[in-house]
Amino acid sequence: MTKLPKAWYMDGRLRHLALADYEGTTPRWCPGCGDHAALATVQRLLRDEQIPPDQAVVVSGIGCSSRFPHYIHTYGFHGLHGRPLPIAEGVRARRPDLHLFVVTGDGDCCAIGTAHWIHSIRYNMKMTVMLFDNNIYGLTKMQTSPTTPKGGRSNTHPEGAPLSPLNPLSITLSIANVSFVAQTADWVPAHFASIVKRAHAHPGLAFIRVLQRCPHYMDHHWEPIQSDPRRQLLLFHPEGVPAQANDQRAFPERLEHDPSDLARAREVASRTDVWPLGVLYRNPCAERYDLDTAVGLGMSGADKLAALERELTQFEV
Amino acid sequence: MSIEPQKIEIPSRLRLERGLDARLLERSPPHVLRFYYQASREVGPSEGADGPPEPPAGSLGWPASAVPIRAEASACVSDDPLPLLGFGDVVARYLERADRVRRAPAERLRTRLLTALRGLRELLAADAGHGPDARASDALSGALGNGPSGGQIDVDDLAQRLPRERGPLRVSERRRAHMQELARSLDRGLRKLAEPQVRVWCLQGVPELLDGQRVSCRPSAGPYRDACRDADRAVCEGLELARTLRASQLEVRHAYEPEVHDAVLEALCVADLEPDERLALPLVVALVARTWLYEHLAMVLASQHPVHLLVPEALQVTGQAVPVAALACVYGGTFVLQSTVADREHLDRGLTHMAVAPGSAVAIVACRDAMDEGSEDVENVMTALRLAAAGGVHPRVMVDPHASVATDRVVVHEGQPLQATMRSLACVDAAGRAHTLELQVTAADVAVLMASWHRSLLPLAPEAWASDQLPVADFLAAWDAGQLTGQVPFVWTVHPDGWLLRAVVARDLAYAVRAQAHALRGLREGFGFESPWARSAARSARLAAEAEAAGARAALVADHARTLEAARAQAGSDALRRLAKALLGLEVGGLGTTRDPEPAAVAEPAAVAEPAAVAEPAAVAEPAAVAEPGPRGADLGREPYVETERCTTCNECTQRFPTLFAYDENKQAEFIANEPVPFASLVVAAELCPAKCIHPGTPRGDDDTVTDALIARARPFA
Ligand SMILES: Cc1ncc(C[n+]2csc(CCOP(=O)(O)OP(=O)(O)O)c2C)c(N)n1
Ligand code: SF4
Ligand code: SF4
Ligand SMILES: [Mg+2]
Repeated sequence: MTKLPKAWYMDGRLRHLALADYEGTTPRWCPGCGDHAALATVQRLLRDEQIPPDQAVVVSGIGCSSRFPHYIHTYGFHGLHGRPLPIAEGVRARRPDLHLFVVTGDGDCCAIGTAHWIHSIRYNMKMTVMLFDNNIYGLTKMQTSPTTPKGGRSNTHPEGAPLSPLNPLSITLSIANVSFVAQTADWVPAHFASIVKRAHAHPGLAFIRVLQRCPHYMDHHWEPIQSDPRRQLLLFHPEGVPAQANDQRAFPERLEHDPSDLARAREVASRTDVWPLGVLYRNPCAERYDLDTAVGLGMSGADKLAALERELTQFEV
Repeated sequence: MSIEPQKIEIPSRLRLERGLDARLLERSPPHVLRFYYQASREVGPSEGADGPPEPPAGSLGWPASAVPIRAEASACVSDDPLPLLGFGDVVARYLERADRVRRAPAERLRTRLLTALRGLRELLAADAGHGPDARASDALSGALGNGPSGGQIDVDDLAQRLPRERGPLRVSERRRAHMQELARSLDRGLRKLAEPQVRVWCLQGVPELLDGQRVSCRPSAGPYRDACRDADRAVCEGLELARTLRASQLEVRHAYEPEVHDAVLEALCVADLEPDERLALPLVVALVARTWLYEHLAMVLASQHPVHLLVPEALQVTGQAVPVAALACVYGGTFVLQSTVADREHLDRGLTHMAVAPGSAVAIVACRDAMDEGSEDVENVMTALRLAAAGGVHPRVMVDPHASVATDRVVVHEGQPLQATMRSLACVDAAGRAHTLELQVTAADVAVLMASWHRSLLPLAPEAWASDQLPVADFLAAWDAGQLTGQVPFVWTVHPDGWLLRAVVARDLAYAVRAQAHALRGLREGFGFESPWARSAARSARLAAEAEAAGARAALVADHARTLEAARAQAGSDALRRLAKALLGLEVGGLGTTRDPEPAAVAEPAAVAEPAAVAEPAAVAEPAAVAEPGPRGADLGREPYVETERCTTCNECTQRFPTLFAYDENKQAEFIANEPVPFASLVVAAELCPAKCIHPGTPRGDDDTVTDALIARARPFA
């Protein structure tokens, strides 16, 4: 028997997968863009969980962030603007075995894709949805998005956005059958990683809003929050992300928040003085539509024909 | 297919005697062997108990130091007007030919322009005028009635309809201005025609040898983009010129009835050029590496504009050029050439054909990397290219849509075997017995010659050979058949003493080889050769037809049997009746009447042919994961350092200061510079870092860029 270094064995499942195994094409996001951090976080999750690249699929819409699937070496689907969720539902409906991630932007999800957003939350099909919220349309070069803060200048509103932004967390938390809502930021890698890990393990649709820097069009936009730890409120709880030993230094503002308490979650989500970071809500028992769609997966072609035949015979006159 | 673990049964020591590769390898043994030493140094002894057995250095008599590199430049490298590519002379010939074939059409166009211009000038000179020619205006109205607004006006046809004689011209001010405008445009067009008709866009280092009166070379930061724009402009100008020409011809010929005339000119639009005019358009060539190719490829292909893309493809085992060629083939009108510098004859022939392609064209040429320039690996790479060409690892394809309407004439495909190329190696073993190894050439054999793959090869001395090692080709077959049970693939390499050694192939290389094999298969199927899908479809169609025929035959046989039976019964009863009549004078009634024939046997319905099993689509092969080991760890203390675990992986420092920062194996930034670094760079990096995890440390005493202001800026990051 030939003895080789472990990494040389052929079957990916038999050897330790390295980050390089998840490296796709070279990312073309701007240097400093928060999307790089997100990419690395998901790659690390796959590596840590040792998920073979062919067992994962990333579905995205259109936008800077939605270029994600190109840069990760898994299966991927770069979809239509606003439509990553229906595509992902299609994937999930017939492939309960795959690890499914959805990448969407604030324009993609909260503007053109709003209808899908609401129904996907209600369907609660198992997937990890990451909303990359840079408060702007990045790809199309700086137009006001639904999350652009009031007064934020953009190409569509050079005098500043006239309306207050919508709050994706509050909206998600108010949709029927919501099962997992969390918020994190690209500049806190350890927190980001633990949230994505928690979300990935959640049996249902896990919705994560990622506060994302866009140094190109929104330079210094998040800096006041980034540089002032008092404006970031760390949510911790054994049911969400448990408290860590060194949290104290990075997050002086902390709140023990039980993620099974929906009313509290809505309250926390609507706070404007601080940005909550952590799991706001989690209900592992919510109904799941994918359990209904994933029936008869093992049927052979002949079985399917026979079943069809049976059904059609009922209409015989 | 079942796997015999020890397919090649050979004595443990074989000396290479002769064969295709013996010749190829002879040219560059030092490199193959150098790889061997390197690899054995890196992987062999340090592996310990878990790794491969240590090569028995003494017994094989490895020299202590690596064999020096033979510094002999190969034929393909020398005399090269385009040093960047390794095939500049061919390119120069191609450009020259492209220019030559465009000269005659350009000359014809020039004559037409000149004639029109002269006519206009004459008209302008003849200033007096009588009334309009009624017949002329009638004819023009007729032409308009046929719908000039629908597109082009056939000027010659129009002239045919117009009466021959015409009166002198009466020129209104407006028309005079219009004619002057036309004359100016024609003049401009003529001047344009005198400019170089072949324009080359390339990244940098304009090869002056190519630059000349008829070929112009332009440096550009984005050659694809610039070439596309240039071609767009050329086509627009060409269309405009064609319109001007036609308008002038109308003016010069008989069309001078003001109202009709204006309407005609207004409706005159030129949607497309005639073939000859197309060839007179300048040719735009983009001469560039693959960067951004995909983005612009579709643009070029869809436009069908006279843009030629010349893409030097640095040799890659994974054969990514194949999809490019396949993609280009999808856009019918594009000329596609895929060639390699190792087959100069093919390359030259291909580019010769390409030179006359009137529309878009793409040539992908496997060559060495610009990065290899001047390095000692150049020769190795050339050997690899030759082996790839000889072994069918690099297909050579030419798709010339203008060649013929028959597919087999349009697609010419050579050097790419329908069956894999076998090479035979003649060897002698230690006892002097002769052996022949039949081996299939794969991309892995090519990779042996490429330094970039050496870390993915592990040479094994004969003592370490085992039955679970399979030659790469067999390994791939087993892999595709899902029959791998822990075997490892290997390729043959050569020891300095001429002994054959196995080199085990790592996962990334094996994936690359498989991707290459699959890509070739895809191209083959795309062209209609050897497609398993087509074969399975044909098989199921044949089965269905056979089943149908069998059913029909069975029905015929049954029918025949029935008729026979009926005839027999009829004959029997007839005979009986005749007998009875003769004997008894009786009419026989009930007796012996024809029996009802048996109900026709229901023919078995033709067995429904099983739908052809849909083969699983080949899994997308993973590209080779290139993992560089992390550089040295970050020092603490007064040195600059990165708090690596807080790095958010935002690519800021790694992209702006790639010599100072790099990612570790967890994709978080580390400080990597060994040499002294300007303090200013460190401060800028620290300021840029969104996680504020870069610490510039204390400035060095000898760094004269340090100012108080800089130190103040560095203070927050202490
Ligand atoms: C149907 C449709 N409408 C509009 C667009 C144009 N478009 C492309 S990306 C984009 C906005 C992207 O913003 P966001 O989702 O926030 O992504 P980001 O670039 O900020 O990551 C728009 C409007 C489109 N591609 N398709
Ligand atoms: S524009 Fe903004 S969001 Fe888009 S890649 Fe650049 S930094 Fe990222
Ligand atoms: S700038 Fe900072 S956060 Fe970004 S990659 Fe470099 S060290 Fe990491
Ligand atoms: Mg956005």
